[in-house]
Amino acid sequence: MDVEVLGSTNDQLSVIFRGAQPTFVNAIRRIIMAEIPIPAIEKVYVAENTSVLYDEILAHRLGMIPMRGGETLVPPDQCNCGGKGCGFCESVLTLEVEAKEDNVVVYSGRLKAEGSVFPANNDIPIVKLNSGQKIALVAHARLGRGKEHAKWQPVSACVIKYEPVVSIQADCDLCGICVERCPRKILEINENEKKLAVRSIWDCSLCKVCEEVCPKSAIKVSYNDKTSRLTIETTGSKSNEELLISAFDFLIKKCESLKNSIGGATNG
Amino acid sequence: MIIPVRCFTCGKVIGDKWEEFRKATLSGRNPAEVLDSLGIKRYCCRRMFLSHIDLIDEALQFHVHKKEEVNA
Amino acid sequence: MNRLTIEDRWVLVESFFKEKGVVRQHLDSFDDFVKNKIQEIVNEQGVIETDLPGYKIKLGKLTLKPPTIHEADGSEKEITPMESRQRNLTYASSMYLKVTPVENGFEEEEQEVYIGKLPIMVKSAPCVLSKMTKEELIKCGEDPEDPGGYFLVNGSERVVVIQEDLAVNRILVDVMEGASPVTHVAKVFSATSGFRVPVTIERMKGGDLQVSFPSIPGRISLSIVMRALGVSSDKEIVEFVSSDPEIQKSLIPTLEAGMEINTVDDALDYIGNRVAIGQTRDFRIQRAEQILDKYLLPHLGTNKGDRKKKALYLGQMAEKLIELSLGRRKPDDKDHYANKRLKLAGDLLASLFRVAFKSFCRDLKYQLERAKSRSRKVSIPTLVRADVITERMRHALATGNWVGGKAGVSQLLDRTNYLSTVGHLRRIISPLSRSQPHFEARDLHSTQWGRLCPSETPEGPNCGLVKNLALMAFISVGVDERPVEELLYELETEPIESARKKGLTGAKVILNGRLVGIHQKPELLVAELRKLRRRGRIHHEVNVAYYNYGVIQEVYVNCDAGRVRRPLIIVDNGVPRLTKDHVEKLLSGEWTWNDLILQSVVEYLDAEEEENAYIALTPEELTKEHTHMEIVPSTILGVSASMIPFLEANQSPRNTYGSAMVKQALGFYVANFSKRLDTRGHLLHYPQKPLVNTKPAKILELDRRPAGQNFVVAVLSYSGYNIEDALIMNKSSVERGLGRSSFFRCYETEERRYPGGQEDKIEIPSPNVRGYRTPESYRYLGDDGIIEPESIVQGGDVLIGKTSPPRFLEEYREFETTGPTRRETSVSMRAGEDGIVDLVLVTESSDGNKLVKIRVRNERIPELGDKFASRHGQKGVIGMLVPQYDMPYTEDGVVPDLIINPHAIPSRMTLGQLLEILGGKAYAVSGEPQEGTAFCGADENKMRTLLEKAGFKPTGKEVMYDGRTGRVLEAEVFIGIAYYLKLHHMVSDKMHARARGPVQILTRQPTEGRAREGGLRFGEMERDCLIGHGAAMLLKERLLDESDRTVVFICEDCGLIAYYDRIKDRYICPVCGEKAKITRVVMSYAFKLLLQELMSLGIAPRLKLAERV
Repeated sequence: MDVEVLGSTNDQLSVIFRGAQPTFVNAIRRIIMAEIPIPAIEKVYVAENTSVLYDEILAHRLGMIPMRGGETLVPPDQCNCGGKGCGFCESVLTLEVEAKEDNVVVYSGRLKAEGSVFPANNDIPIVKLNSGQKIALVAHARLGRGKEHAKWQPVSACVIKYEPVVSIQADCDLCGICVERCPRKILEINENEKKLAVRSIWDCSLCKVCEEVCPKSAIKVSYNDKTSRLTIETTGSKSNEELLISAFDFLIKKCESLKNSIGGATNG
Repeated sequence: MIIPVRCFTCGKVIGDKWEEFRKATLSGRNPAEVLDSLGIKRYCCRRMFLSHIDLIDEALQFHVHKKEEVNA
Repeated sequence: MNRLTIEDRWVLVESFFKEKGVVRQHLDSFDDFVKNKIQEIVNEQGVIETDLPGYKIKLGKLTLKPPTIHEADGSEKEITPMESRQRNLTYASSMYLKVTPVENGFEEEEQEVYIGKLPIMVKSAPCVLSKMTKEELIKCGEDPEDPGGYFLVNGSERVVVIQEDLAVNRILVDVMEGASPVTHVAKVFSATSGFRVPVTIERMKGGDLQVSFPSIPGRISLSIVMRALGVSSDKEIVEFVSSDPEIQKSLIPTLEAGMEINTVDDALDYIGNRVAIGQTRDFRIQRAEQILDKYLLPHLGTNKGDRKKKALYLGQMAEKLIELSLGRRKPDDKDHYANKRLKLAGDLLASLFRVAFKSFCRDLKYQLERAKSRSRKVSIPTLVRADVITERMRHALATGNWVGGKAGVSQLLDRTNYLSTVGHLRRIISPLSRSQPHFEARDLHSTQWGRLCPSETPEGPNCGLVKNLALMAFISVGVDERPVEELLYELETEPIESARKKGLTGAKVILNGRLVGIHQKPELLVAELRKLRRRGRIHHEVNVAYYNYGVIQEVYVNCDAGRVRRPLIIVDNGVPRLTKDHVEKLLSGEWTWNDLILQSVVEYLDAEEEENAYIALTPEELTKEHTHMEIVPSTILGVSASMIPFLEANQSPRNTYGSAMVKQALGFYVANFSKRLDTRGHLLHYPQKPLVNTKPAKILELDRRPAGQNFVVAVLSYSGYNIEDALIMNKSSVERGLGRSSFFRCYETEERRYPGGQEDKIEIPSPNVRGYRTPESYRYLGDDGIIEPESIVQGGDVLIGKTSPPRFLEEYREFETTGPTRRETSVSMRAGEDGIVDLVLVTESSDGNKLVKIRVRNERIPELGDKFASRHGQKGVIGMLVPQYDMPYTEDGVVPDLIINPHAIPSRMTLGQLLEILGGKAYAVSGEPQEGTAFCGADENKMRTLLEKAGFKPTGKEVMYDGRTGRVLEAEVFIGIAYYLKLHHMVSDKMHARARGPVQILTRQPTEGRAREGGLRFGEMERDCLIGHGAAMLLKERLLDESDRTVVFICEDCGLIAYYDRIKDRYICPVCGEKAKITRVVMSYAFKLLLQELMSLGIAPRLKLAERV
C-alpha cells in the first residue's frame, strides 16, 4: 500500500491510498466518523432562560457547537463514576448573558470554559435576545463518539473516491465535443501531439458525459478501485491529521483485540 | 428561526458564517459568489443559507420576558 | 412599445394582493353588513307595534361602539383581539338603538338603548386593528401578517365559511326526464331579505302550464294564477307572456284549463278554496290575496300594487318554459357559475341578525305590554333584554348552527400553518348533501376557470362540494339596481309593460333576473353599457352579457351580491390596454390596483359576462377578435395549489393530494405564538423557505411564515426500508435539528361560582377530598395550586389542583356527620402525553372568575413512523433512520437527508417533483433562483446548463458510494434538493397498545380508542383465524375467561336469572322462590346484559340447562 498525502486546503485533507481495497479505506473513513472521541456539550442546566428559544432548542444548539480540548477527560464508559458524570469525565462551561438593549446576539465565544473544554469557534450565534431577556446556564461537556450522536462526529464530510480512469481509443477524431461538454473540464486537446489528453484525472466525477456525447464512442470512463482518495473535513475539534492518525491507531487496537480474542479462543 | 449551528446534512459549521453572508447579500453581492468566498461548496450547506429566514426577529417582538407584561 | 412580459403582469397580481390582502371578500362583506345591512334590517322592522292601544315604538338609527367587554364589576372596557383570545372573551361591540316611544300619536323624546352585542370580525372596519400600523399591531400582541376575517367567540377563532348557493330570483328552466307527467319546468327561488320561496311552473304532458309554490298544496293552472293577480282577460294573459305568435299559440291548453274561471274574484276563490276549505267566499278571497301577496314571488314586493309585476314575472317564466319546449333554447345549466352566488360572512350574519332582531322585538313588545299594564310610565332601557340578540349571535357563531337549520357554518379556524389559515378563509361550502352522488355538481365546470381552484378539493364524500377561491377571484358586494334600471330606460329600453301592449319584439333586457324591458338593438345597448362602465358612469360591479340564440335574444344585466368575478386586462383591437408605463407606475407606487380599475385598464367579469368575452392567455396570441387578456394564467389556482412548483408537470390528482397536504404541514404558523394559548399547536424549529418557490407564495408572504424544510433527496432503493412509500432519513441530519418541532397543548380551568354561594377553589386538594389522587400527582403544584413553569410533566400529573363543591348537597347529609366533602376536579395531563410546562396564565373570565390556562410543550424529534410529504402529493412515513456514515455519499461529501424509493415516481407521474429536485440543486450550486410557478416556471434546459456549469452532470444524477462498504453504487443516483413538509400526523400521537386496562361499566368490555386507553379489537377475522387453527381452548380463554367472564345463577325450573342471598346463605329464584334448583352458569357479561335487556322489554329469555357433555 502506497500512501500519498495531497496536503490540506480549506479544512480539508486529502490522502491517496494506492493498492488498497476501497473497503479498507472505508473502514478508516467510518472510524473517523463514528469512533474517534471528541468533546461536546451533553448536559445543560438552565438556571434562567427568558429568550424565545426553549431550553431544549438552546441545549441542542449548544450541543452542536464544536468543542476543542478535553485531552485530560476520561471517556465516560471508562470513568469511575460509571458514566453518571463527574469531574473526571465532564468539563464545565458557563453562559450568562442579560441583554441591556434589543437584538443582542449571544455568540459561542461567550461560553466561559471552567474546565479544559472550550468552543472551537467563537462566532456561532446561539440565541438573540431583546432587552430584559436573560439566559444563565451551566453546560457539561463530555467525550463521545460519532455513533452515539452526530454532535460527536468530528468531521462534516469524510469521503473516499476511486481513481477515475479515462481511456481514449485510437479512433478519436479530436472533434472536441467531449472537451466542451465535460462538466469538470478535465479534457483538453494537446495541439502538439494531436491527442486528447486528461488534464487532472482526480477532478473527473465519473459522470460519463463524455462517453455519452462522443459520436465515435472513442472515450471510456471507468475507475480503478485499487486506488482511492480519502478526503477529511474536520469540524474543528481535532485537526485532520490527528483524526487520520487516531483512526489508524483505533483500527490497530481493534485488530489487536480481535487477534487476542481469536488467540484466546484457540488457546482455550 | 435562527440560523442552525450546522448544516443539517453534512454537519459543517455554518452558524458563524450567516451574518457575513447576510450582510454581503444585502449589499447586493451575488449569493453564489459570497458562498464560494466563505468556503461553502457543497449544495447541502449552500441551501442552508439560501433558504434561511431569520424568523427569530419576528418572534422576539412578542416574547413575554418581563414580569410586568405577564400581569398586564 | 415593448411587449409585456410575464413579470410585468405579475406586478398586477402583486398590487392586487397589496391592496386587498387575502381575505378582502370577508372584510368587505362584513363592513357592508355593519354599514348598511344592519340598519336596513332595523328599518324593515321600523316600529314595534304593541297590543296596547295607541302605543308603539319607532326604531331609529343603530350605532356601534368599539369592541368592549362588560367586566364582572360592571365596568365596560375596550378590548383587543389578543385579550379576547387569552381571556376566553367574545370580541363584540355594543349596539345602541335610537328609539322613540309614540303614545296616541304623540312622540316622546328619542332615547338611545343598549340592545346587545355584535361579534366583530377581526381586522374589519369596526375592529381596532384595522387602523393600526405594523408597530401598533405588534404592541397589541398581534401578528402583522395575520389576515383577519374571522370572529372571536369565547376566545376561540371562528370562521364563517363562504356558502355557495343557487342564484336567487333567476328563472332556471330544465327538461324533466322519465315517466313523470311533467315535461319541462321553470323554477325560481324568490328571495327577499331573510325569506326564500321557490316558485315552479311545470309544463304538463298536455301542454298546459301549472304553477306551484309553497303554502298552497298542489298545482294551479297558470291562467288561474294570472287571473287572480288581476290579469282578467285571456288576451291580457297572452300578452303578459309573449308577443310571439307561436308562443301565444302554445298557451291555448293553459287557457283551456282555466276556462271555467273567468273573473278575478273567481280565480282568487279557486285559490282560496285550496287553503281555507269550508270558509266563506269572502274569507277565501281574502286569504288567497294574502297568500299571493306574501308568498308568491316576494322579491317583487308584498303589496297589492306589486301583483302586476308578479303576473309579468310569471309570464316571463312561462315564455322561457315554452321556448324550451319549442326547442328554441337549451335547458339552463345549474352548474354554470353565472347561476351561483356566494354568501359571505356579512350575508350570513345578516340573516342571523334578522332573526335575532325579530325575537328581540317580540320580547320587547311582550315586556312593554307587561310593564305598561302595571304602571303608567315605562322606561324602555330597563325593559330591553339585551342578551336576546347577544346570546343568539354568540351561540350561532360558537356552534356553527345557523338559522334555517344549517350546521357547520362557522368553523374553528385552522392554525396548522399560515397557509392552512388563509386557505380556510377562502373555502367555499356547497349546501348539497354529501350522501347523494350529485356528479354534475361535483364536476369541475368550465365557468369555474379563474374563479375556483381546479385542484384544491378534498377527497372522499366532500369531493367537489368543498371548493376554494382562485387567487384573483373576487366576490361582488352588490350595488343598488335602481340607477341601473333607470339608465337602461334612458338607453332606449322599452319598459316591459308598454312593450307588451305595443307587441314589440326584440331582445329581452333582464336586470338581476327580472325582465325589465325590450330593446331593439341589443348589441348597441351592451356596447354602450360597457362603455359607460369603463368610463365610470356606472359602477364597475355592473356586469352585462348578451345572449343570442337565433330567435331569442337576451341581455343580462347583473349588479347583485355574491357573484364571483375575476379581473382581466381589457383588449382593444388586439392591443391590451395595459402598458409598460402602467407597470412602471405600479412599481413606483404611483398607482395602485384600484387605479387600474378606475382607468379601465382592467375590469372584473362575472361568469355571465365572460360568455361574451374572448380571452387571450398571453400577449403573443392576441388577435383582433380578442376582447380581454388573462392577467396571469397561474391565477386560476387557489392558494394551496399555488404552492406546488411545476404543477403543470404533475398528474392532476397529485396536485389535489398535494394541496390537501400543504395544509397539514408544520411550520411557523404565527409570529405571536408565545402569546397564544391554542388548544393544540405545532412549531417547526428551523423552518426554511422553499428553494424552488412560486410567485404566488412570495406575493402571499408565505416565505415569512414557512412550513417545511429543504431536504437533500436521493431517489434510490438502498436497503429496501423505503418500500411502499416509506422514507429513509438521515439520522445524523435529524440529530442536527432537521424536522424538529414543538407541540403545544393548552389546558384550562375556571374557578366557577355555583348557586347557593358555593364555589370552586384552585388549591392543592387536601387528602380528605373525594377522589383524591396520590400525593405524588400534586408534587409539582405551587402553593396556589397551579403548576410551576418549566416543570417536566407526564401523563396523569396534575397541572391545576381544584376542588368543587359536592354535586348534590343532600346526598351525604344522612350518612356523614362531617358534612359533605368537596370533590376533586383537578386538571391533569392527558394520559400518555408528556412535556414541559411552558406558560402559566392566570386571568379573569368575563364572569369575574379566576381563569387559569397552562401551555405544555413537547419536543418532537422525527422518529420511525413520522409522516413527511413533498408538495407533489408524495407522502410517506419514516421507515428507517440511517446514520451519516452508513448513508451513500457523493465524492463531494454530500449525503441525502432523505431517500425515496424510485417506485414512487413512474405510476404517479409527479414530474414536477423531479423538476423541483433538479431546480433546487441548480439553485443551490449556482445561486441563481429557480422558480417553479405554474405555467411560467424555470426552464429545464436552463437548470441543466447551470448544473453543467457548476461541474455537475446536467441530468442531476451523480455517482455515489455506499457508506457501509465504500464501494461505488452500480447506478448513478438522481440527487438534489426538494422542499419537504413535516405533517402533523406523528407516531407519538398515535402509538397505542394495552395489556390490561379500563372497561366500560355497562358491558364490562374493554373501552375503545387511544384516548381511553382502549383495547385493540379481536375481530371476526381474527376469531376465524383461531378457529381455523383449531385453537378452541385459546379462543375461549381470550374471548371469555380473560375478557368479560361472569358467573350467573340460573334457576333450572324457570330458566331465569336467580341470585345468592349472602345473609341467609341461600340461592333464591325471584320466580320460583327458595326451593328451586339453582345452578352456576359461566357466561359472557355481554350475554347476561342481553338477557336483562330482553327482560326489560317484557320478554322472558329462559335458559334451558343441560349437563355438560
